[in-house]
Amino acid sequence: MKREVAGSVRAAGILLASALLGAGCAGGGAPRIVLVRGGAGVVGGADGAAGAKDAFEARGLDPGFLESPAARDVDWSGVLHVFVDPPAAPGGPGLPPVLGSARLEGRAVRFEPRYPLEPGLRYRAVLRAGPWLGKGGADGPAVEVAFAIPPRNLEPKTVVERVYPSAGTLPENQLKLYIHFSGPMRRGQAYSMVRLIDIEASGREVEAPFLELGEELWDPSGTRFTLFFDPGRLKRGLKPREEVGPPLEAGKRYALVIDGAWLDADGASLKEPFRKELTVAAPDYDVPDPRGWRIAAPPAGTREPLAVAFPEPLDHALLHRLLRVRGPSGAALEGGVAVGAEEREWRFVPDEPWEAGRHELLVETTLEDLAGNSVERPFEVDETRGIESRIEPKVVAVPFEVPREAAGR
Amino acid sequence: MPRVISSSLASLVLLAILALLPPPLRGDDASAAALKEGAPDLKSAGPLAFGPPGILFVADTLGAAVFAFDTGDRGPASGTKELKVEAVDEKVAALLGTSAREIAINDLAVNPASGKAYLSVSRGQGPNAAPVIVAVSDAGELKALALDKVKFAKAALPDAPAADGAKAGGRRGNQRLESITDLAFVEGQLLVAGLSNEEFASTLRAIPYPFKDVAKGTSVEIYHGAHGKLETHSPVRTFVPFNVGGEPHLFAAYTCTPLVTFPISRLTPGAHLKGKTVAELGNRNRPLDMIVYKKDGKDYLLIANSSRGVMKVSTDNVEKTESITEHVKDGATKGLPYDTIQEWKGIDQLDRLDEKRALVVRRSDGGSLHLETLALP
Repeated sequence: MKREVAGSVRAAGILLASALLGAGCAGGGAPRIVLVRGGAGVVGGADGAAGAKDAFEARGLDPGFLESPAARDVDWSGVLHVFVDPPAAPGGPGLPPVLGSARLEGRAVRFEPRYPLEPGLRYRAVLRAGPWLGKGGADGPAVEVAFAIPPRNLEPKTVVERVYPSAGTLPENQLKLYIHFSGPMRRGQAYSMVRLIDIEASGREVEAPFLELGEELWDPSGTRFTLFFDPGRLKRGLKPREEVGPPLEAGKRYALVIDGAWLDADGASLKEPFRKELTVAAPDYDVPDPRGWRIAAPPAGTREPLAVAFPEPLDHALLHRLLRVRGPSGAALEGGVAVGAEEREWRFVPDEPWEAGRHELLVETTLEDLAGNSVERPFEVDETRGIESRIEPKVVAVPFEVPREAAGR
Repeated sequence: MPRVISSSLASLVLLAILALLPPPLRGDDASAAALKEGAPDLKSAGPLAFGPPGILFVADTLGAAVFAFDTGDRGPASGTKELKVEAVDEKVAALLGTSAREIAINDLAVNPASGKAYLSVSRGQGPNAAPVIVAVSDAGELKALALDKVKFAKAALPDAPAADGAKAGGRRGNQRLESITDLAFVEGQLLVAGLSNEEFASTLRAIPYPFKDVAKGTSVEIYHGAHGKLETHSPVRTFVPFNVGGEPHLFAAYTCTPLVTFPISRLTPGAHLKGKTVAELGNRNRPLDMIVYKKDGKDYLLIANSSRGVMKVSTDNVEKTESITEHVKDGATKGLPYDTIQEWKGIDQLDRLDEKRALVVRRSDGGSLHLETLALP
């Protein structure tokens, strides 16, 4: 689908300088610049959907010149330029032309910007004066046309779906939070959009509780944000903790507040703000121990879920990645994982029915609890107990038996 | 809006190479042969570092890889001109056909061969942002590197998460990503610091360059002590190579503020090594980027922070400094002495330009970013 936007006639176009040369340009009409919108990909595509080929075309050029040998020597990329119309700041910096390529196509000079045009912005296309404008064109004025690209539809639609841990009580040394959104979000604002409120101190905001990283730890889809508490304030013996104390204090109540002004990838704000109240319990310095997990094995021949219950909540993201099941043949089973309420349960549904016999739950020892204590080692290790000098990726295998169908019934 | 920096330490790297390798052609020859022309599948452009002459390393967090690009820019340096590009964010945005709020300048690196500045940029702020590398000429002219036809090599990060996440049993919908927070090229290896969005652990990888055998990339963990008793596995945020008593070392700054040092020779595959804590930066002094330099015969480390200006640390007696095992209360300092350079406020990115000057991306009071040349303090 191609839409053409020309001069001031169409809704999106504004004719700035009607420096049209009259008489010399019979045939193709007066020299003019039009914007050819190349497909629907532009509107709403946050970062420019691929496939959208917008182009500016200079038409109405002098056919006599275009057919002459001299036309072949023209570097057309130096003839038609497009600029972002500067924001209304007189004396602002001179802006470079928009990156793209120009060529002669038929009787028009066509400029394709490297990246899709930005909704809501104005662009100025400039066709340099030259013999292509007809007789006397080289001495005349350039042709300049401005185009306003309609803004995106910014109807708020994205919401905070979940915050993990989902439990209402967290240990004092809670290490991180995961914020899940219903759609992709925009980078660059995260730390100004999340606040921690001390409910008992009449709503006072906790100062700088989080680790602020310019990278902003998002997942590849831009829908999950990982928010670490400031580790310098969690670790005992470090200066930030000694100076200002831990971000959360046991026995107190807090609210995590997410501002509705946080923008999604399209630039629309959230549909609503988000609030989650938290009660803080004593710090947790103990490693999770898979030997204490309760495994409920399903009967063979079924695809009923295997359920593993933990005595404490574990890290939501890591539970999806660091637990596997090995079947009697020794191969890891394919299947789907679900994490149960308050991240105290892990369920696995195999793609194929369970076989009877010895299975193993494989636990990568980097699996962490809420306070960053992993199966392998606590968040803070007592050095006096000795520290391994090599990193060995480790897996703990917890055996369980899948009973025969008959035995199970 | 918090901005974080991670820069490339390029000139140091060159110094390190000159100091450590016999001067022959190794860099140029080996790297030229290792690069093939084509269109790299760069998915994002983060930290930058220069390596062998003209070779720019680019960290790609989304693609879980590092790239080496031949910029073709091998100098010579034009000399003493003071580069200044006002509103560099607006200009880069205009070049990319958008507005300043729709781009992010992720890093700045100076090519030590030419003194030319390179910026890694995201066009767009969402998950589909396009990566761009912009070169800035001495005259302040901006040019995007042609990424559709360039000599390049790619090294996928060892044990990087699978892109689709649907490999082994139950591993569906993998959301893990490792943000690359810093890069440096030292002794024929590209060092890569990473920060996972799930586990909280310190991983530093050493990838030999040319990237002929990526599998040999090594992974090390560095930890630091506190109170002489508790060790912690915090991610290294930024690091810089530095000579201590003639032996190449790294200074590494943690997200939780201690600054440690250790010999590069101990970066062997699978090593779990303890850095010597030489300074603790204190609350809210979040280390963003570091460069080292010499002034009046003394060695200094310059640390950019998120909120407190820049810290200038004297590293003169670093080999004699005892490890801090317990921090000192009542404002007393232990470890390396430092000054805070208040005039260097708003520094978003920095890299060393030459012996006496640094190039910085600085945020003005009005919010615009300027690319400026500053004399080293």
